[in-house]
Amino acid sequence: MAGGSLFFSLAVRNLQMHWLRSLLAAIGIIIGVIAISSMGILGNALSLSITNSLSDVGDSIVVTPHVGYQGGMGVSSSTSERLTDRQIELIRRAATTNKVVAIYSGGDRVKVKRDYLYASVYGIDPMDIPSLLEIDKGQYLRGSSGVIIGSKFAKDNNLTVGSRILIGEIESGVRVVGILKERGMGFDINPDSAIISSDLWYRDFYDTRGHDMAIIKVTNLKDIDRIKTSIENQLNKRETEVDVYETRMILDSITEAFGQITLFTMAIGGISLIVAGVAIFNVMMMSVMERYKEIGIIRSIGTRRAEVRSMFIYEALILGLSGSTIGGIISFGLCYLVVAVFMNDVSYILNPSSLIQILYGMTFGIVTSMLSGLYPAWKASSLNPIEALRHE
Amino acid sequence: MGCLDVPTRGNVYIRGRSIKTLSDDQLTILRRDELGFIFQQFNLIPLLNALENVRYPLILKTGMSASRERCQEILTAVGLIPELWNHRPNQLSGGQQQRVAIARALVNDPSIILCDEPTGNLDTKTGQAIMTLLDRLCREEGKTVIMVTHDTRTADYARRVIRIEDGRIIEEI
Repeated sequence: MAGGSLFFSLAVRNLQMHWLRSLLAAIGIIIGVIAISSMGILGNALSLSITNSLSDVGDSIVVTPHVGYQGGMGVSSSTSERLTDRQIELIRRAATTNKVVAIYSGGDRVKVKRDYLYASVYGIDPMDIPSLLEIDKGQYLRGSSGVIIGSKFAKDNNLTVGSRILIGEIESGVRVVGILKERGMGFDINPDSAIISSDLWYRDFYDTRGHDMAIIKVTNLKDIDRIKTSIENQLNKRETEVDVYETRMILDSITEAFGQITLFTMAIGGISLIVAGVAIFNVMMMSVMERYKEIGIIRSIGTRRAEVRSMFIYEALILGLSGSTIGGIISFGLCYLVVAVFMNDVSYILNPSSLIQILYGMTFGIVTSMLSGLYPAWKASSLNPIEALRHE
Repeated sequence: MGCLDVPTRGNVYIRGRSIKTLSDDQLTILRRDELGFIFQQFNLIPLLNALENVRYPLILKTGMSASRERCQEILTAVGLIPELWNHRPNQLSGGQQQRVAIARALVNDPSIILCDEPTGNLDTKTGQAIMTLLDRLCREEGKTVIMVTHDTRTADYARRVIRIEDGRIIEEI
């Protein structure tokens, strides 16, 4: 087209001439883009942060006793909602070469120095602990004496390796031999604020007969489905004895739920963009009405319909592009600030999956502006030049 | 005749081509290349200054490389002083605006100049100056000037006068 930049320059000048009107229309787009991008970024950052803190990223199968299962076949009710040795054995068989960690889990009153508090207590075979937990200070359990404590528990109560804590009503004294590395929330156990003892100590101390859960650490992720089905077949054939959770599935459903929430909030943001689109449409229509005569003049001296159309589309594009760019920059700044203050980790914002939300918001902004400008542009180009020239 | 419309009856031929057979784009190109328009209300583009108004049709024809010098020459020829070239239409007097409009009409070297009451909004002295300019374009540059006017003194410049009343030709002088 002859002189495409001529029509671009005319569009710029017209927007400059009516700068207040143009600014208000662009502000609409800015707000819309901020709404969409910010919702997207924050939703994604939150999802990332939760996924990160869920340390078990899907290489485990967790087996727990089915709630309501009464032990069946004459087993006393005291073993209800516990995994029996038979069940653990069947789980081990189903797991084949994969490691099965049987866990006792409970909670008790603990005395630390002079304070009483409540803490989770796990009993695990010392041989199995390294495959599940990582030590930060001190050492792993050797034999039945001593306990390992979670990093948060240690920090909150100023405990170090060698500290002594008293567990239970009878205040049985145990010595801290190791402190765990922070692990984050898990689907299986939450050791950060817990005390981990040996299984022998736990069984003696609490006089318990069944395990509370079994965790299967799967080496090859492809085996997960096979093992899960095998356990279900072995234990849940007649009656549901155990519940089998696949951590990968839980993680997926959490991520999916977050994705849906983010999408929903982005859709709400999208409404503001539609409002902005209406504002641009209004501004563009006003521009066409006001420039009836000018359109007649430029048509009469040799401007083609397509060139008139391009002039108005440029206007919509400039409004959309500038509004979206400013909106994108503000969203980034705003989210950076929010995440830095509330989540203390800006890496969630700098993650490509977060940054792309800005691109989505900007694209929506530009497309909305363009769509809003199409009808006014068409209207302007299809004016009869004679009637337009007569217009006062 | 201005190719802004096509006749409902009869025909208009420009350079041997019937305008009835042309598409909207072809008519637009014809207006751009063969016709120059001069309006009573001047009808300059308010967003552009005097020089840019003159350059506009040239850009449509030749692209952004359109010669600035040619526009300056024409503006000088129609008697607009260089100090006014960067003024917007609303900063110019009626006579100055009409000179810019004439320069714009001439810039693509059209064979026909269509004038709608070119002196209608000007004082007598300026009107005379504009008519002298159009007369010179006709005699010296061979342009066909077709003008609509109510003013008999303006009509005196013409070689051929057709009187129209209520859309009918009354007489031809």
